[in-house]
Amino acid sequence: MQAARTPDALTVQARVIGALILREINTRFGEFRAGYLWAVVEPAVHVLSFAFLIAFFAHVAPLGTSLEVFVATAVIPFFFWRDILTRVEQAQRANRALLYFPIVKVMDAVFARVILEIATWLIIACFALALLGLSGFDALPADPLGCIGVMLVIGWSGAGFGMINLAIGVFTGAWERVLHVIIRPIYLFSGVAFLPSAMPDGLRDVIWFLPTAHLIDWLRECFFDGYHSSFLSKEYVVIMGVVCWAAGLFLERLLRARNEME
Amino acid sequence: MIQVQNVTKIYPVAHGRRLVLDDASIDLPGDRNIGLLGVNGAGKSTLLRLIAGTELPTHGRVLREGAVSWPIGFTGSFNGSSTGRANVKFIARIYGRDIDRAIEFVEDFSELGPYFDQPVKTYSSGMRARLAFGVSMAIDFNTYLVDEVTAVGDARFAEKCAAEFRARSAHANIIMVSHSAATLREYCQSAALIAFGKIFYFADVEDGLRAYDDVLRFS
Repeated sequence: MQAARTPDALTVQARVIGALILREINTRFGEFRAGYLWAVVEPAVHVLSFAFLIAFFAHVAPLGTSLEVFVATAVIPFFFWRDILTRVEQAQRANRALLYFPIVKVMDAVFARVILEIATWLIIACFALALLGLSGFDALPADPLGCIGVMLVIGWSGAGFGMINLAIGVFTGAWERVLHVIIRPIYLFSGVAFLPSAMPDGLRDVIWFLPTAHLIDWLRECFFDGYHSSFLSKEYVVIMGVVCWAAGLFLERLLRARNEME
Repeated sequence: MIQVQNVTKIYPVAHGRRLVLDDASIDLPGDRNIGLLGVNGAGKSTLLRLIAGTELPTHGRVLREGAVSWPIGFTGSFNGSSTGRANVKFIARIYGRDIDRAIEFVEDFSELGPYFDQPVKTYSSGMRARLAFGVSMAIDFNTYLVDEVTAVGDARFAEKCAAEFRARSAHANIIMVSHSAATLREYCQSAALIAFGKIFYFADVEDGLRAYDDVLRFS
């Protein structure tokens, strides 16, 4: 028997998020350490296969010395962004049973997933770059700290879009499916095998609205020495992120009562 | 002490809205066990969830004094693919209790034997209930919210729970939903009746049961 305590809300939230992260690790990666290794190796290999495939069909790298590394600097952030978006949008449904404990809030589940996903993808990125390096490519970022910073922004941005989906998903599951149909082509237009600034005017103006195109460009600015993009608008990325988070949090609060019924 | 203040609870349903609580207010004292009464669908479980904080009122507020449990029922909120032990670990962690002590307590109290290290989905409903009660006892709340305690299964374990509650009555109380007058008489001194969207408090559980009979005759 242990005495009941009433610690402050932040301590409780930190504790709950910590417990959720541990639980997520256990349920997702299995009880074995190798499970987490697999969770890193699998996406890294996936990302690299994509990079090699696309590089095979393209010709000259717009930046750096190899097309493989150039494509990897787009595929990694894009898959990361999409992955965290999906993880956040499913945070509520996947943790429905846990929300039965009043001490666990939806946002705790969201934060736990965001933290775990960012950590996992930083490791995936390092692992993928190490594999590229071992294959004889020049895969060292010019500004490693800057790259980590941009990766954090990507996680925050993807999670923001995930929040909106989480809220809308309360109303209808159809939206989620529609969104993922939209996301797939976004991938091709976000500058995987090209630089957005090298596109013809009309197309570039359309691409400009894709947050992923800016995020990839931003990462490349930090990755490749001496690259300054004329396309990149950091303001756009930040404003979109703030708007998504604000709308997502607002909707989550608004729809909480409705959610309880399901 | 739990204070329900001007609470309205509306659920959106397929065609319109269902009003469960309509500007209901009640003070539930913390020094006695209280049985919640009401016809099916009156909102007993809803009130329990509102008190726990699992759900929010549409309007109004609920004030709690001391640590209040989640609604302990037989449906459970365990992760089926994890073992009983892993579930206890998780719950001890979120409530900030010593994990080893919690595990030791539950292992002893729930009498699950080797099943403690089996996935919860392999448990019978009685075993689940025993795990649920064991865990909630290990956390040591001031107010236990219990939904249908009779589901705990065999009489011996029910008696063990009752004894555990009695041992804690100095610093813990129960708010309980049950359809069995015998169970309510055994555990509770007082009662709260939910009817017509309002909550009525009876210091004597017998008065509450009589009023409940009147409501039953009405509807």
